[in-house]
Amino acid sequence: MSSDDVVFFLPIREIAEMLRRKEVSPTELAQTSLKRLQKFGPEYNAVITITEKLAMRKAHLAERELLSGKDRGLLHGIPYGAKDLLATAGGIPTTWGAAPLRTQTFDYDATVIQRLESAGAILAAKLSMVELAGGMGYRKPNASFTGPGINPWDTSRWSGGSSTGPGSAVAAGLVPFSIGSETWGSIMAPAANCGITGLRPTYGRVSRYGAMALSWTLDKLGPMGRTADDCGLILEAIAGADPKDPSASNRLFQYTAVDDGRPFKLAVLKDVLRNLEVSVLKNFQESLRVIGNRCTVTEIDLPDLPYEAAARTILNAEAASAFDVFIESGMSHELSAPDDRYGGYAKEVVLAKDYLRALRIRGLAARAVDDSLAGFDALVAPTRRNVASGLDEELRAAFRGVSSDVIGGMGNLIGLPGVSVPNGFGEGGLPTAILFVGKAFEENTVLAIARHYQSLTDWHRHYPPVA
Amino acid sequence: MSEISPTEGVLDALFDMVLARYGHRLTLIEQAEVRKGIEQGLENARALKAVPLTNSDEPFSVFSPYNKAL
Repeated sequence: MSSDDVVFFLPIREIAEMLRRKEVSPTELAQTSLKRLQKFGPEYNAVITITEKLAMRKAHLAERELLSGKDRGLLHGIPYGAKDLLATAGGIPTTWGAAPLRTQTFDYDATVIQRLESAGAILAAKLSMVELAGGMGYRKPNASFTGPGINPWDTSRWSGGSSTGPGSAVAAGLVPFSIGSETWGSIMAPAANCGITGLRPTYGRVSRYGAMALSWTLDKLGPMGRTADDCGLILEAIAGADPKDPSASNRLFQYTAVDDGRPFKLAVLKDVLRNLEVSVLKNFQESLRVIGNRCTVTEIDLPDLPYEAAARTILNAEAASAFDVFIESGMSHELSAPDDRYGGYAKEVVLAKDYLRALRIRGLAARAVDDSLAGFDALVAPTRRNVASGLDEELRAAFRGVSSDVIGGMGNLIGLPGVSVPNGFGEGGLPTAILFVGKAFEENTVLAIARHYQSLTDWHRHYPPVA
Repeated sequence: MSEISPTEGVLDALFDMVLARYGHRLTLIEQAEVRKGIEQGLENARALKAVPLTNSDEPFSVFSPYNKAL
């Protein structure tokens, strides 16, 4: 790997400093990113469309602006990739990872794309994803027309999902950061599998305008990068009210990167350490020891509510409606994964009263969990029970109701923010990760805890042996 | 003769609805998978039903009245 390429494994602040010291230019960064996307993207099934012309045009603009003293902030001149469910104008396809939509285009940019452009970031690629973000209930990693997302740490393992490309592209240093989406686990899981940092913002923190809808009341867009600090910087650029998305909150998000040094109070669920892979448990316990000088950890129980059943019911009902034309027209039978071709039909018969009951329970759950977390800064847990699974393995997808994922079900049902950071290596030398879930709109708190952890460890500095 | 439980009746009815709409597209194996999916949905519904709700427990979703002029 050349020294030019090493830049792509650095945190955003370090790349930004190099840009301002003129050790590298925006056009050089864009060229290197494009080369790496072309060379390694296919190896990991990470890329759907490389936006070369757009990237070079924006890189030249960023270069002129920075040289003339117009500085848009730390993302200015830095390339990134977007999960291919974010609309992009200019004839760039937005495929939603689905074969029948591989030529789909939009004549506008998603709000997130617009905001990153305003911040001077450079879109270098639309990244691969599980078809329809897993909305048809896929069972295996093969659920994408670009092939299964391949993990840069071990090419026999999965990177996802469903933000497979955003996970592997950052891990392999094809782009310094990416934007993923999470309805239930789709930022957290690929971040953990790929050994990078992922932030799931509070529901409504980031406008969903221009993003494929899977579930209007569960979908969130969020950053995936090298560090928690990267994620904070990116979130500040993309957060905020948007008249085009009524769910977008008008609560201001200003990233607080300065550490006030206060101690953190963490809660851990009593049952969360059951049935973990040995290395995941060991790394989690070691992580708690590492942050123990500044964090207290208390065992708690969540109120006994059907978090997962409520989230699944909402997801199924909303997905059936979001994709009704797709399902009714028979287009779903052109999807890549055999299970996805008929997976939507069962969702069509969720009863309205059951859906509404789930929405009513969401209110109870939101208040009950907020009460339970009073006095705590965050819940802490292993992000995943095991390291990345094999490319041919059947997934135990939570939303199909065949595995238990209380924290994922609860956190997504009531829209709480979470940050996943790498915390070591487990079986087969694959990354493991730790998750901090905070109270609604308290991203700065979970980011501060994650930053503290990353200040004491160097797992986020490890990268896979990409050729 | 054994009686059909209310749950089985609902499952049958919902499955019949899917078959009426899409049965022509589905193999027997796929139909069985769809039926399992509906059954899982009903299990979710049963779990939700066990939570006591009052009339004042409203759906937790976003809605704001629209007036283009304002």
